[in-house]
Amino acid sequence: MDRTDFTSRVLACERRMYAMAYCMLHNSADCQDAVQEAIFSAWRSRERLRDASVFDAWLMQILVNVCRDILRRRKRRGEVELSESVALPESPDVQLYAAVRRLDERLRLPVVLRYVNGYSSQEVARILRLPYRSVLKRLRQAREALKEDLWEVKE
Amino acid sequence: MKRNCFSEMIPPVPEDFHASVQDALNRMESVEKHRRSKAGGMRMAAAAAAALVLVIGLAAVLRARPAVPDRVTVTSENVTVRPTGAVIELTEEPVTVEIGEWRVSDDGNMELDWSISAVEGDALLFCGEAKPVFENGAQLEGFEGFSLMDTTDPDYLQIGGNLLGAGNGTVIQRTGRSSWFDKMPTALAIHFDVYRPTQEAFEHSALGEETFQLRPGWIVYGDGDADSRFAMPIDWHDGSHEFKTCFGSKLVTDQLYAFMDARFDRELITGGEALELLQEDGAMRTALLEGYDFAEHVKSFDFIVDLTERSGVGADEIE
Repeated sequence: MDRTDFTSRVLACERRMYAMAYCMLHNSADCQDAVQEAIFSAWRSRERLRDASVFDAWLMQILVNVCRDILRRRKRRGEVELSESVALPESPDVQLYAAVRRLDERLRLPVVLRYVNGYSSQEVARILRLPYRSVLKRLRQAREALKEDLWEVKE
Repeated sequence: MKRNCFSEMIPPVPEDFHASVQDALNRMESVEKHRRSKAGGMRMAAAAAAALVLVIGLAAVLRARPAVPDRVTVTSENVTVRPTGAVIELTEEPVTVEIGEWRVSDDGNMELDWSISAVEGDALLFCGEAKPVFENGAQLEGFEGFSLMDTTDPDYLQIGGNLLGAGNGTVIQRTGRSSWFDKMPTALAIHFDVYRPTQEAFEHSALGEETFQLRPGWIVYGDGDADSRFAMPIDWHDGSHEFKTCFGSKLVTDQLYAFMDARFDRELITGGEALELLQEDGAMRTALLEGYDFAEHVKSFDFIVDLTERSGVGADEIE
């Protein structure tokens, strides 16, 4: 994969990368760091990507790992998450975002990948390295949790 | 909940985000070039294959004015290196770390000198820590251990995100002095592993896909390939125990923590507990290695030894 091809593929999934990173890190500065790091890593590893058709999912897989690293570093250093309250969409999505954010990561990531970024469940399984059935199960659990959470908010 | 509302819950992509992506795309070649030139400059004799080596586990119990050892040298003699088919086979080429004399400096710091047999400029994979343990059992967070590696090396940061502060990089000095601030620890537990990998292994590690030799004392999750992760029970000599993970890919980490949380609701277990865990058929497979054929790799358990014995090596030598 040459530079031009790589660049165009990265730019094509720019928005999805942002959404993924934001849902994990919750602030733009860390998102930028994570995405940059993921791009560097992907570029270095590009020769090992045998099937270019899965570039998008592969890049997302790297990004998820980078974000997890950042979260671990935060935890280890006792850092407090810097959340941004700006630029959130109007209700009802603010509530939805808050509810998604309250989900445990094991449920949140499949939700973001599947419903925000539009990947198929198979692709989500690949990105998260989970069995397909586990993804379906987590998505079901996440929907239930969101339903319950949002219902409580409404009441 | 309306359809597609998920896609609207994310804030708009800020303008500077695109700029940062563009910046990364512009810099990625130079970043890679920098990394390759560093790796190439590190004298990794290909024929010498690579080597693994060494471990130091030692501890010194200090009290008010502790009887400290004059000199403690720990080599890999107590470690049996056994290659597996799943990892790059490494030729042992011991790297010895010598821990020098303890002393209290004029300003009240505890100091020690250390030296390593590696040559400056050598590329090493490094996993180590030397953390003071205070009376309350607390450790000094953020302590980087010996100032052995160039922590500004981007490759170091590449896998520097794990709990042991491990990474790879180049040896920046052969000897040094480490001091422990103005606090006097009651004990010092040192765990120090140095790996001299093949060029290939080094390249992999820089990419976050580390491949390592397995050795006793390490609990191995996975088969030693990029999806593996290692965990190490540490029995601190102040009586506390800790279970830490190290190396391997980052992919399994969350599963590991989820498992630990679910099983113990804490991250601390003893080496003995860890062994018991591993003997529980299926426990790891379902909780830790979802998606992996763990049974296929159960042979990795051959590498587990009496971890208490391992951590006691240093203590025996001191006494």
